[in-house]
Amino acid sequence: MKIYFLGNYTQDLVVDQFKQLCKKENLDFDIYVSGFNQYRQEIIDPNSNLYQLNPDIVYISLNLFLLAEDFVYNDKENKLKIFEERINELLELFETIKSNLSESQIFIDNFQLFSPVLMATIEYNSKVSFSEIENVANRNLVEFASTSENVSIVDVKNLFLQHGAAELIDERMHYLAKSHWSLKGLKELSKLYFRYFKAFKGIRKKCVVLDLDNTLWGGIIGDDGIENIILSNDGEGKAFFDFQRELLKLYNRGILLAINSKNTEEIVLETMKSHPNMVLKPEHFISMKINWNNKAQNMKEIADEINISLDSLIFLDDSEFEREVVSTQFPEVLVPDLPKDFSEYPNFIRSLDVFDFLSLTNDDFARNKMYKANVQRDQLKKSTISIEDFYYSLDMVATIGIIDDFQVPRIAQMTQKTNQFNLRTQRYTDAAIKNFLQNPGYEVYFLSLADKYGDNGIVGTAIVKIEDTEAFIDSFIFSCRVLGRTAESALLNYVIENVANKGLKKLVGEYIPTKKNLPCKEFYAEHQFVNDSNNLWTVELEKFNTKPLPWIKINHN
Amino acid sequence: MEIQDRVIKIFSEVFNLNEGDIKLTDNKEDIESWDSIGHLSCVMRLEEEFNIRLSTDDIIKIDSIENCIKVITELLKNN
Repeated sequence: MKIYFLGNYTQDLVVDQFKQLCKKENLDFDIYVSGFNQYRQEIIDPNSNLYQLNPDIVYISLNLFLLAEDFVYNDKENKLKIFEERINELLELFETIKSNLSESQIFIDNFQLFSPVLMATIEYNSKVSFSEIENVANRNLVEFASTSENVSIVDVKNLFLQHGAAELIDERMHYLAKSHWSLKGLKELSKLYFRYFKAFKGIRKKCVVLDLDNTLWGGIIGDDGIENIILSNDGEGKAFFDFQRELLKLYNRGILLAINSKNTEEIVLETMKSHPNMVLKPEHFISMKINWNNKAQNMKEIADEINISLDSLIFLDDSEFEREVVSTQFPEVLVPDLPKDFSEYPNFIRSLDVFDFLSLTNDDFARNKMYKANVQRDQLKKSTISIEDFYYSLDMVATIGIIDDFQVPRIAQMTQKTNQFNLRTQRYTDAAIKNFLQNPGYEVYFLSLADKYGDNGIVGTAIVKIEDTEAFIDSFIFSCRVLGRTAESALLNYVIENVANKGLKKLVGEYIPTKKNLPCKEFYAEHQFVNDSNNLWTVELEKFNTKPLPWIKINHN
Repeated sequence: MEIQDRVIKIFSEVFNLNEGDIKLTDNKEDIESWDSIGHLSCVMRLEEEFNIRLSTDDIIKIDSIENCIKVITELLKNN
């Protein structure tokens, strides 16, 4: 089983938690995470890692705040319209991955604006509030998923209802890790992902085995009598009524029900037949063990009778003693603690994560199929976008040039912090970079990149050493958050053109492998450098033409 | 267990090292797998273990085992 995670923030921490869950359940999966914020490239490029791996399951998680961050800081006109266009682009991406991976299950988080304090008092009253942006995004997502057989929405919003943003979000992580989840958030999110995984694989309990007194109704039927048990469609007795209705819902989804109770059978059957608010009737139970035997013994007989293994049973009983009797003898049976207060029973059963489905009923399923056919017809007219279209759509503007004093700290910082796209991993201090500036034998280049989502600042640097007729690339570093949109090629092209214009003959690059810089291993090979020996790569400058990158507008500084 | 032992245990688990191989003077450069993600996994584990909350400043200060122990000792003293 191969699982692939895509997103627009650092997902490694969530994936770590997810891996731990798999380990706990003894599930051995191959789990992959796409590079930081690479989801668009991965989905559009038919040769991407994603498609080469052809995963069984894909989880897509997008932080809405990052998709709309420019609106937070600038009150743009036509905000909603711009945002709707963005959502349309996203949906096109989703369409692309859905049809490219038609055999895989795709899970997409619903959208949630994590910060509730963006505009405080005027937020909800403004015409284009962030809540409205969130609603637009989710409405579109629901429509998309409901017409796609292999796409399901992961209800992350529900986590926020349950636990609240204060519990789930950690601002430190937002700034330090480009992730936003707290440890609790990571745990809850990965648990939620695991729930959807189990639902997809149909891993669920097959049969609910129930006690009767103080479980299906309040009181003891043998002592209190049919008129006095707590079970009604109003008042406190409605908690048992609702609990039974929840069980009936499970029954209607194909979960089996059985009884394991110390009682007199005739009294129970009579109660089931004649109590006006008894939702569950004898015909709903596949097996009824109503006797004075040991409950563990009864469990075994139920399992044998319906021919399922004990580990597909869940046992609900208000008595701690009986729960222990069963779980001690048969630890494979799931025996959760029932809440002490019966008014919590309905919520308790709703929150159990052992009966999850991805689609509800056969009717739903049929309806999905019908929708699907309609949508496919529409889609034939639409063509998917090419990787070049994607590059163009980003409206990239790169500024390239030789650095000045003000840029020294950022360049030094890149040499110190960047690990992945760093060809030689030479670390330099501010002072060392300043020395290069004053040394005529060195040139330090920068590239800063803006796109339609905003200005990314300086994302690339190259340090070139010039000796006689030869130039050597001492450092070539690019920030991984903007990789995969050819900006790194723009910087290399600029370096090549610049040294060629000086009349130099040769440009040499070197790749020094480290544990972390695998992503740039093929960089020089991809740019027509010739491999000399080991990790040395050369370009003969006189007869070399760089490949044009028409989708990036370049300002020379 | 001493703070030092608990810190080393966490580092060994997060970065997949033998406890015996970890020296107090080890820093980010010495431990190969100590990247930014590993750093924050460590931070979360430390917060859980010692029941503390590290400030962003503290998190940045943790760049070696020694400094990590220093930061935590300081925090526990003030609690």
